[in-house]
Amino acid sequence: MHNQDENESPVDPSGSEVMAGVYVRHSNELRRMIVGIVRDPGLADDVLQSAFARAIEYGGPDREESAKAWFFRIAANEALVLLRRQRTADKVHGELARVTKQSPKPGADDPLVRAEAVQAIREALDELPAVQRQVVRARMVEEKRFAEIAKDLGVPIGTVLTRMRRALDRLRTTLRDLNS
Amino acid sequence: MTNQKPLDLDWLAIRFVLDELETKELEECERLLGADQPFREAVARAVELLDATRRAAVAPTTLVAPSRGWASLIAGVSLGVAASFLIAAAMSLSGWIQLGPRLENQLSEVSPEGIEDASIVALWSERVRMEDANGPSDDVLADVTDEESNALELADSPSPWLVEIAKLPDEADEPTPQEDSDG
Repeated sequence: MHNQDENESPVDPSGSEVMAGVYVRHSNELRRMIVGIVRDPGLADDVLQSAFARAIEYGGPDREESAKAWFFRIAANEALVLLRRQRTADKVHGELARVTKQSPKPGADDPLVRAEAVQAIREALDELPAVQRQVVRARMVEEKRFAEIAKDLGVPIGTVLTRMRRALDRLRTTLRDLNS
Repeated sequence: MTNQKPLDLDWLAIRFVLDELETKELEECERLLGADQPFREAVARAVELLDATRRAAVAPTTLVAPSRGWASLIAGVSLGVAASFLIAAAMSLSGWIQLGPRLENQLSEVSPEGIEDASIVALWSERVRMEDANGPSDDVLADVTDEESNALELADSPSPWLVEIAKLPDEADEPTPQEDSDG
């Protein structure tokens, strides 16, 4: 049995232990969240490093907060700080297209998405209604804004958003089934 | 505060990642990122979904386009053939450079030319000994041509390294630097 006397350990080791445990179990999810905020995989590592340093500084999660939520919150805050700094410098305010352009090819050691996921999504894409597939392609491949797509198709932007949302709902279901 | 349905949260996260939000929505997202774990996880899911979707949507175009496919195939085959030639040439060159002298020595040990060279060296060494004792021998020089005669005249005073070679045939394969400079 351990006699945990606070006087014996000036720095609470639970913070780094919790952090390490969270990272081992949720590193991919954590990295995706960071990439979603800063929209640059190259910056994600910097954010992670800052988050680790901050987490060690804080020492550990609050009672009401799970370890995962605690570390994700720290990482999200670090990412937001970086994002705001980048916005001020007007360097990073891009889209996912820029993010994914810098991503490695699927199938390799890709932390963002697995090759099986891409294959499953590809098959699901083929089963989408043509109008939905058209919007997905215009947004994700041709990198057009929703407003631009609506203008090109001659439909209200609400229609474009609805098609995109329904398409992604189906694709998300496919991904969820694969992950489960 | 977050009485949104999970699907709404996912859709909000998708538009956040796509940077397709109004200013107020963006501010709300940034607030949620600092306070709401389900939204943070939704952002992670959005990145996975959008990245997979983009890759899936892009890939068929590159795979099914026939002209590009054939071009890639031809380019690949050409590169392969060129690489093979390069490797073969490099190996051949490397073989000549690295194995050439050793191979030459080995051949000189076993080939008739090698045997002949060894005989010449032995004869030369014998001639040197005889000249040292009696002077040049006519029968040795009887059937040589003018050019050979000139060469022999130049070599009339044989270099020490040649004598050493004749005396120590086993060590002749690797002359010392000093011997090289003498020769």
